[in-house]
Amino acid sequence: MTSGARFSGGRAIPYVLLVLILLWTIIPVAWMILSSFKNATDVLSPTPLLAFKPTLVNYIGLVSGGNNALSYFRSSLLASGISTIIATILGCIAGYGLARSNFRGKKHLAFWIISTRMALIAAVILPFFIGFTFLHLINTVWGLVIAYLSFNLEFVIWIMNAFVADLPPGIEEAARVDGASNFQTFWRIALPMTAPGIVTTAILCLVFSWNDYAFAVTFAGPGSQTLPVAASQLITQTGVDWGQLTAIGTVVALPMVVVGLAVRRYLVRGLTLGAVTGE
Amino acid sequence: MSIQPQILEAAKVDGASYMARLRHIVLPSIAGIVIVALLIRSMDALRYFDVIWQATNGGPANVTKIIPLRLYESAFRFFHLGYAAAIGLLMLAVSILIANLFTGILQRRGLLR
Repeated sequence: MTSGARFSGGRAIPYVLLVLILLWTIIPVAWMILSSFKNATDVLSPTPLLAFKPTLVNYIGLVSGGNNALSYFRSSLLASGISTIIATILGCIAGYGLARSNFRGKKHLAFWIISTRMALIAAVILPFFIGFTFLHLINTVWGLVIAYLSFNLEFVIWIMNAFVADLPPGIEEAARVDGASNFQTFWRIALPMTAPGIVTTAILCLVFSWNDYAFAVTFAGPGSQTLPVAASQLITQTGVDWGQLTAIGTVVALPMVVVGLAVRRYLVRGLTLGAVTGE
Repeated sequence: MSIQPQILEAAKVDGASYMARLRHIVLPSIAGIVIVALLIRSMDALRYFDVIWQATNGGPANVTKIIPLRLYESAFRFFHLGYAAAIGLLMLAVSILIANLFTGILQRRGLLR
């Protein structure tokens, strides 16, 4: 009550903070997009240029010539898409099972699952590399899918575990009394109630693997090079091709922004649906 | 998991301020997921690697050389694989220690039995 009175005086403070955070997050992105439309001299201008003649030369350079970005786009999309789908399906089932079952050593199993995210990437690259060479998975999309699962799967399992643990158990018990099997309870009760969370988790998985660099640069060869690797190749000993780099940066960021915006609407719908089911 | 709007509405009708609703309804209902998110993101922060590797490569004068970069450098540039493995194990021990703090909180809240 006292806190309410104290905060009504400084009502402007949250908005000022919001604007600052917004500027902090948007300016680098906006600058990247602006730079991608500049020609080679404008992009290196020592004074920040806001008025310039826009050009598409950087984007044309991306899709033409020997260093075609479309094949990178394809392998990026395949590797992160397949990895996200597998991680979401397996992770939902495993996370639900972990939250709704009781057995000895459950805590240790959960800890073992999260421990795959503890190892330093540089420390796991070598074992992965030896294993992949043995299985002929170097320079394939499937190798990347498996490598991405190492940080996606336990993420979904743990988040799903937390979501299900927070669900009121009464609804599932009611379903079970009505004769639903284990799988039916999961599929028809728990899954719809956690749907917004699952979608958010899947998006995060997609972003994690879409932006992955360390695994892609070691395991992907010419046949499965992903976009972040292609972007990093524009940073060379002799200089940085800022026009191309910002153009590919925009191309990398755009699909995730579109997916995020498209899913936002679904999220709000999912939330209200969840509320109705929860009654 | 998702907060039901009716509960927030009821609290509002009862005269709870924004901060009171945040403190007594919103935060308790998302506490579990917040702790899990903190756990996962702190693991990510401990193993953070690629952006620093590309942007500064540990420089200037090692001020941005965090442990994962040191590990990578000793393993794949100097080929001191034993030293690198030792760093890896040490970091694993630190991660387990930090993760244990989080799982302890989760257990106390009854979210991980």
